[in-house]
Amino acid sequence: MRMTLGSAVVGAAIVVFSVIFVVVAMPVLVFHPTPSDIAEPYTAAQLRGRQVYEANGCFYCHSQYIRPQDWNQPGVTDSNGRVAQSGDFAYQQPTMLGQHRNGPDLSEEGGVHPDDWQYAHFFNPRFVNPKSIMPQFSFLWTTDSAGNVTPTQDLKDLVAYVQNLGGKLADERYAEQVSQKALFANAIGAQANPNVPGDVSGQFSDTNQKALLSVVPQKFWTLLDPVPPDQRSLIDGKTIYVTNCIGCHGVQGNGEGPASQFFLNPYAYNFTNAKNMTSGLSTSPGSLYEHILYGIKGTAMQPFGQDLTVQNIWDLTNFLYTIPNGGLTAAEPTMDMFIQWRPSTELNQLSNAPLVSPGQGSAQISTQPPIAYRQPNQAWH
Amino acid sequence: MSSATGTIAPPRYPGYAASRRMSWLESLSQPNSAARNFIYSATFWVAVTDTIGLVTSAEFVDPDLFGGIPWLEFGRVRPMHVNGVAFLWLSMGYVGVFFYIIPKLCGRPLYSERLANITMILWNIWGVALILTLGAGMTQAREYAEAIWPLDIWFVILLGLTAYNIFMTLATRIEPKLYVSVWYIIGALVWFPNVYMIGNVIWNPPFGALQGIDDSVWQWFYGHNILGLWFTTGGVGIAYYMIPAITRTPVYSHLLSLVGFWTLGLFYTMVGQHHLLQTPTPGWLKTVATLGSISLFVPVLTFITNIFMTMRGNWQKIYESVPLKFIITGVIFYLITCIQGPFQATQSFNRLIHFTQWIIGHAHLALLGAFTFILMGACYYVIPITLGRRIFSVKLAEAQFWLMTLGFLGFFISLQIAGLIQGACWMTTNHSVYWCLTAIRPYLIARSVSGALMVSGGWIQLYNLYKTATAGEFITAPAPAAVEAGGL
Ligand code: HEM
Ligand code: HEM
Repeated sequence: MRMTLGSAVVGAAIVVFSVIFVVVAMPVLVFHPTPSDIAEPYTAAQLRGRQVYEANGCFYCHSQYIRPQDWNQPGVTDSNGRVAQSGDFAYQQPTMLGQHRNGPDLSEEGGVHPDDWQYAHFFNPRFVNPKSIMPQFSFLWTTDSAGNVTPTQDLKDLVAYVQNLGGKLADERYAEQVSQKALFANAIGAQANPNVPGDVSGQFSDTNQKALLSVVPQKFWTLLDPVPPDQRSLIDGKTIYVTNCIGCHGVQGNGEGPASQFFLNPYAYNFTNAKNMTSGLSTSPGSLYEHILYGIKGTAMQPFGQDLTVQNIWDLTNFLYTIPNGGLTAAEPTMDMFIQWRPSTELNQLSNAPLVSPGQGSAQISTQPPIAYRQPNQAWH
Repeated sequence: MSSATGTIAPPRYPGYAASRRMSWLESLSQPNSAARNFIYSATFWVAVTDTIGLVTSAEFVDPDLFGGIPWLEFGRVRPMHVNGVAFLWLSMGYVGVFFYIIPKLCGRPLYSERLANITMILWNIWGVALILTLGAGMTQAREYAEAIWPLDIWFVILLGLTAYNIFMTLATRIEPKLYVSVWYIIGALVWFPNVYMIGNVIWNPPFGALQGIDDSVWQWFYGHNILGLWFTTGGVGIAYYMIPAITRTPVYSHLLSLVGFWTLGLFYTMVGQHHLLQTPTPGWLKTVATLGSISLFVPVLTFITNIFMTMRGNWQKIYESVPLKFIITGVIFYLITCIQGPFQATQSFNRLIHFTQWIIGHAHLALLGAFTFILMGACYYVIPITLGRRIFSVKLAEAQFWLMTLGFLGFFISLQIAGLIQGACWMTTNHSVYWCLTAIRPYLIARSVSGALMVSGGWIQLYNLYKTATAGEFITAPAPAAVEAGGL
């Protein structure tokens, strides 16, 4: 074949344009997905927030569609593994499906966390997740001369957009966050000391303890830790605490991590109160386990069930009981720092479920800890 | 099998450029000045935008490094890097080399050297505007199509001016035969502006996007075809010129080049959807894409066979010629890219590596390993030959080659491992994305370190070309033939 200028130009155009007809024109001619069950138009604020999302290139790290195998993404368990449908994107222009997952998928992110978590996270993602590599968006705040930071309108819009990711499903989740937050605000509010910045005393109030208890299944209320609090367990627990929890709960365990101090309402939980850790209504190993596993809706406490194994969580729970005795300040937590939690009479009355003693199935409620707890080095049974 | 090469004459006036002082304006109409100016600009941009790439990669290792500086935020520097290397380094470099090749193969000077230089100036201003707007967060939020609407239009005009110049040169050529490289350059210039306009939905100014999921289909038609119909087409065209010219061997087979050219246009255009294999988009598009991707073996293997057969008996020349060394290395990386590619385009393998750093490795294998290497070789070929000067330092050029090669291999291998770890971590443990990030951290550090080697390679080229232009030793007859053979 002899190539001439004409045959090269015309031939090149014919070949490519015929394929373009198939792969570019045909889709818009024949493929018109209708809005899906969760798709909804954006509000003005959400639309502005979407532009902030675009401008800062969030989509270079966060995809926005769930595949069948993606159970490890935020909100997917809540939506019962709902897989993205073509109609989900009906109101989006441009679509930001995303090609990379340097961060989690965000298509079901709306309502997974409350607003205060979002603000803390945008200010510095390591405040709420020390492992995150997301950039700081502290430039979306303004700082006044006294050093107080306030979010800009851009940031408020961005949060509005993010809380809507997942459309109608996100709205449902978000509504639950809002009502749960009101529950905790009421439970703590009256008790907190307004003169002490960051006063967390309200956390130990009866109302707040009961509010915390209310999100835990009853059978966990008095459940004890099946993992013996031996040296290994405590040290592993401390490692897990330091790599996951300090942003909010603080290096001293008093709930004064940077995220708490600046953003969170309610504060992260204070583990330093010995009385509370010995017989608090909501501080049984079972309740702590449940809170770590599933998080606490309405507060910044996020679920860790995906990343921590069952044993990790029990180790972490064991470690928390050493904090009032210096488990965090000492180089290594030791077994004599460990506090054995016991249900109070009030909790025993509240709880209908019998105490489960490990290895024996259910037994009578006992104020004595099972053998295995007192002699952690012995064999399990 | 017949062969087809253009006639390659030695430069008419060795050393003419420095023979007398010229006014600046006059210098803009000197033969080959546009080719050189494009290459100098591209070299400047590769140094700068690779450095931006290094910043991008450093933010993976220490996300608080530039914490709180808006224009250095990851989501803003990343498009600066990607658009910079794609539209300023590779694209400007390609156009520079085209402006040298086309007159050579047409037997006449470029249609308008002055227009070409004006294009060059406008292109550089466009580049500055692009980087600044991206830094300011002005973007259309579609990968490779971030440029805002006025810049889209501006870019189409730049391409139009380039194409006009080259087609006018072709229309008034003296050499009647069209050599393989010319077809590829014609293809690239016919396809790219169209792909760019369609992909950027250029008639829809505020968004530059469609509504709904069709937008993704269009975007990845575009995202893929700037790679296939521009970077690949242009790069293959350059390799088809440089390798026969440096080895002074005609291309092995005209037939293979023909098959390669037409199947490239046919199959590359089909495959955009292989970037969206797991999205809720029409299944038939995915099937077309996967079949097209596998069929891409045809243009790739015809090209590779043709080049390697041309190299028969010439392999020792890669020790004598730095440009050839770069270009052959690039061709080998191209082969590896295109072995990887079809596997990635199958559903089963895609499920493992989609979303991971593997893809970043593949993207760099293609645009850095293959086409940056080919273009760097071409720069080292075109600059000395058109200046009539020897390259300032062959040692530095060699050093650049090894820094680039070793740096690239480190970069590539660490990302491939990281990608497999990420994919396996998500598939088998159900851990969150954060958890898996800690597992790949060492590889991300290795990526930055080896990336730094490549960045220094870019700066070396800038220094070396600058010194060549200002202090390179003049070539006196009969040396030009040796220079033309890439002997530097
Ligand atoms: C036989 C040839 C090739 C095939 C079948 C192929 C296939 C693919 C596939 C399937 C992906 C997407 C993977 C994913 O995201 O899941 C991909 C990504 C990519 N490919 Fe190729 N590829 C080929 C050659 C090339 C060449 C020659 C270039 C460069 C000119 C290239 C540049 C890229 C880039 C830059 C990306 C990343 C796109 C992004 O996500 O931003 N590929 N390739
Ligand atoms: C001329 C050379 C280079 C070219 C052509 C090039 C090209 C690209 C392309 C096309 C992408 C987008 C990939 C995708 O979306 O799939 C990219 C991203 C990136 N490049 Fe480069 N690059 C070059 C040099 C470098 C260097 C030297 C470094 C580091 C030192 C680097 C670091 C990065 C990083 C960190 C990203 C973002 C990856 C991510 O989002 O996960 N690049 N580059």
